[in-house]
Amino acid sequence: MDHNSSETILVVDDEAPLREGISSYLSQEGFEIQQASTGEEALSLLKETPFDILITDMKLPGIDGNTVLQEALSIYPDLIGIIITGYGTVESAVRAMKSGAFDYISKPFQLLEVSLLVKQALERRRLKQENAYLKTQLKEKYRFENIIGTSKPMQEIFQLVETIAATNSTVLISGETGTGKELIARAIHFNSLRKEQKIVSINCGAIPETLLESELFGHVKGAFTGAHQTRIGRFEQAHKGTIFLDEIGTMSPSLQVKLLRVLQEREFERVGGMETIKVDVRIIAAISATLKEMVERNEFRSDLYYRLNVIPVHLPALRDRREDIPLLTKHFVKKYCQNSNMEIKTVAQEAMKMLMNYSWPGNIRQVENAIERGVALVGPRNVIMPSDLPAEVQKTSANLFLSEIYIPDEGVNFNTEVSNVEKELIIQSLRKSGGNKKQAAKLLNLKRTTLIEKLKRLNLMEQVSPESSAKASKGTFR
Amino acid sequence: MEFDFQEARNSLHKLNNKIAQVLVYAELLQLNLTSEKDKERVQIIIAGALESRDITAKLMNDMPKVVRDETSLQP
Repeated sequence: MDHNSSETILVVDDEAPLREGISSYLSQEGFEIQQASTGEEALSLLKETPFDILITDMKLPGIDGNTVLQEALSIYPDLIGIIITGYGTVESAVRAMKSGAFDYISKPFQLLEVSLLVKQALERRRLKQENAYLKTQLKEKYRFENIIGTSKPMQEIFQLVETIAATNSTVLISGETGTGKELIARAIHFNSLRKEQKIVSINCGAIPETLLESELFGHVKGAFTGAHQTRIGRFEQAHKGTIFLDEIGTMSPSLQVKLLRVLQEREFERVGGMETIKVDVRIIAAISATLKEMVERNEFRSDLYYRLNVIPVHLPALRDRREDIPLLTKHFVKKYCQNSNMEIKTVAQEAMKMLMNYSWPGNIRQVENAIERGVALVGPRNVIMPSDLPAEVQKTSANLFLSEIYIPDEGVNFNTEVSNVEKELIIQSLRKSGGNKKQAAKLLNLKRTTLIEKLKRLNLMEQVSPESSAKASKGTFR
Repeated sequence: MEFDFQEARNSLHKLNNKIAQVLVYAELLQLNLTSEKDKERVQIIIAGALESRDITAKLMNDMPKVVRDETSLQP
């Protein structure tokens, strides 16, 4: 049985034999059935019970089937209505559909047809509900609050992107590979007025130049060898929504001209076609290299550059916002542990230091791959160790905090920062030694008395009592 | 005597309702039969009812359009 046995059906017909026949059959199919012989009786039952399906004859004494369905839908908008009509004419079919029926069925019918119709309707409703759920999930996923990055450069980007999302302006996103250009493009779309429509993505660099024009603008039948039928392109697919053109710098000069026209006029012709197609599309483009330099080298049209560069968004490389690495790591560890139905693992401090110090030329995508590997190799252990990380990351010296340093535009207070580093070193050494000052001093290559002096000066005496040190001695990032 | 299309239409409608009953109960019967022979016999009833349905449909289609549409809208 491919449906939930708790689904309920109300069968309404004044002809008892037919009504009872339908009810008996559907009951044997596993549905819960109630019957009514008049429209009035049906409405009274509908007020008491939220049925999943209403099967009603169109002609009923008193209130007719169409009215019953309309009233039922006003109470339960998700209800599936199936109307039984006399011999099918266009008029009765139209009336049934106008009442909001999922479908109609003409007498005389086979019970098998009714059963199929009911199952189709339930499947369509399930898909509709699933679609609504997935749409909500998608919107949730691309909320700005859910994009990871607490560093100042990322916060500034979120602020900018949130402001521009509501507009229709063209956006040019730049940034190294793996910095999350597509994620930002999707976030812009799902926070814009076009969020109910599609976002269509295309990587211009991944498609051969000869095919890119047809891919973007579509083609008419016979436009070239192999064009067996007319096909719409990505711009038409994205009508009313957003198009995301990744790696736009790879576009040929002739295509640049065509794109310029779309940007200016919002119109184009399909390859081999004469008809001008008008589209309402928001354009978000992305590039890894510096487009401005390409313009200076005459590799990219300057007029197109200025049209695209209405709102530039530059995504910083991960090495320029290392403070986001722990958050990203935590996020990916959780993601891959959940994907593999594992308990959420933690990352050993040494491993985290390596992750913090590595240069990440592949940016966030590379972090994700490294963590996926780490989670795969961790096995039954609860902690991801340096040996679980890729070789290139392991080679990075865990050179304390040197590469974690980030100097904001407004500058820093040198003495405060140095004092903070000093504090951190002392706290860590005390944690490692379980609060034993002699051992901690040894770890730092200091005299015990010097350490105590520093503890007093930095007001750390209270914090590093043996009890608090023991509590904090886990040595892993959570 | 002039042929009464309205009356013919009403009769066909009634006939359709009877065919509907025959079809529904034949299917119900078939659902609970275990003997293959009996199932075959019931299948003959279903096939006959379906053929009758096609005949009434053709007769309705052959009727003048105005009469057909007017009667189909009657409650």
